[in-house]
Amino acid sequence: MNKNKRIEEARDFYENIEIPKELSERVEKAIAEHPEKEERAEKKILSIGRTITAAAAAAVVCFTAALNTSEAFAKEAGELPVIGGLARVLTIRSYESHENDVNIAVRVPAVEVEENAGSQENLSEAEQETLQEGGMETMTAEQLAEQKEFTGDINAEIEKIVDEFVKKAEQDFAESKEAFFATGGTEEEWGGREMDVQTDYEVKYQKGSVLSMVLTLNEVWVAAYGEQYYYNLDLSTNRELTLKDVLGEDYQRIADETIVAQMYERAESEGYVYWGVTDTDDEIDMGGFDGVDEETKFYLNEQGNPVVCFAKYEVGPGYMGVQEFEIVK
Amino acid sequence: MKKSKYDVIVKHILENQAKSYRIAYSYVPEKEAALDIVQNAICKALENYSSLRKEEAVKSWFYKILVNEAVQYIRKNRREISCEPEKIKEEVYVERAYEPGEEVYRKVCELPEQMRTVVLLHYFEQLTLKEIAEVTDTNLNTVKTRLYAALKRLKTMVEIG
Repeated sequence: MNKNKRIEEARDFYENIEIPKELSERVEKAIAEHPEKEERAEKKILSIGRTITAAAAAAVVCFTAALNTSEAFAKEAGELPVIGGLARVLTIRSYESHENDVNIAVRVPAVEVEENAGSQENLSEAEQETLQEGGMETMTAEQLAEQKEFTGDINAEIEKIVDEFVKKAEQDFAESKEAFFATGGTEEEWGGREMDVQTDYEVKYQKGSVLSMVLTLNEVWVAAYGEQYYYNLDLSTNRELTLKDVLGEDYQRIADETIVAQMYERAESEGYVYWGVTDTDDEIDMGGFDGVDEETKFYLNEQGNPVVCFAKYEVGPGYMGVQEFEIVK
Repeated sequence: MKKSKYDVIVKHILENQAKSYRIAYSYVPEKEAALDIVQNAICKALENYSSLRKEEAVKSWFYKILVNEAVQYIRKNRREISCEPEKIKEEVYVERAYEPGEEVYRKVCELPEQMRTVVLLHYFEQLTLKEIAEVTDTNLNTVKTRLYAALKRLKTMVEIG
């Protein structure tokens, strides 16, 4: 017996094992059910570099500088959205495109500082009041430059996040499509699938020099997949606020207590499962809630209370989606 | 743009799905079960993708998850599977003659799990013995021992069969 020959024949047989046509579907399904998690501890990258994807650049159909008209804010302020010196949230880019079965709808916000923010002469009474509330009566040219740099960094980061998200979604779609056909899928099975990509933002709170905004990115395909970015800016100090800034030194105890209490309530009322809290089956360590820290994501609601947000899969199974916990001050 | 760890894994999974299926099928020769094994392995991999330390190791990392998943499946279903073989054999004998290579392939699939893993990965998937040691969490000598033992058994089985 020639051992090698027989092994080779066996390998040929092995390589010709029939691949069921359901395979690619099952593989895609499993992948779609497990989107990439946001790296929790990873520091957000502030980048000045701007990347505009070719597709995005080509597809710009309108360029608007419409004033932010977020309902939450409109109710709160009722007038021009003025922050600190004189900054407001604008939509700097907005476009829709439909190419290669990918439908894109994008709104990119930016925090803009007005050139004449140093002088208050032209401001309405209401605006002056807002300025005073924020303790921003006057601003030197130096302060203004700092503020511009700070908001510029934030804006560049937002733009980068949006562009990369759109680019990645387009790539994912094209690659999966290619892989689908490369592994024997037919046009019929593919069935003209389309992908929707949306990015949008909402100003959640704006008072004095403080601005809270949520940037949302969604990819709707075999399964929905989304990312949220939270911006809590203090334009009097030009920094991003943390939970500690909002709740004080004792913030961890305050936040952890109310979050855990709310998790138990929801476990009871909604049947939700919170890994490591209401579900302590430690056979597999799924991660889960292990206390807030200065990196914990949140936004400020209309009352100015922090609302701590956990991404899908961060504290419980994916079907629960994003979990929000208001912490009443 | 640098690809994230997650992207690297997804790409590997998409490109190697047929291979993954064949491996699963060689542990549990039943279509639905093999599909389940592949799907579960992907879920495990993507739930724990941060456990992949180096992106270059994605190949052996994923083989490891897949093989573990297959072996676990067999253990869970041992009772049901253990009463099957005779029936399967009978059908095969009655229905048709072996294709070339099929006989040896079937013998490989009858090997005990540990030996089967080594033969599958070395001869069919063409991994080096060192890579197999990584996949199976053992050392090189153990892999060699298992490989020789497997070959010896195969030889007897094929000659007798």
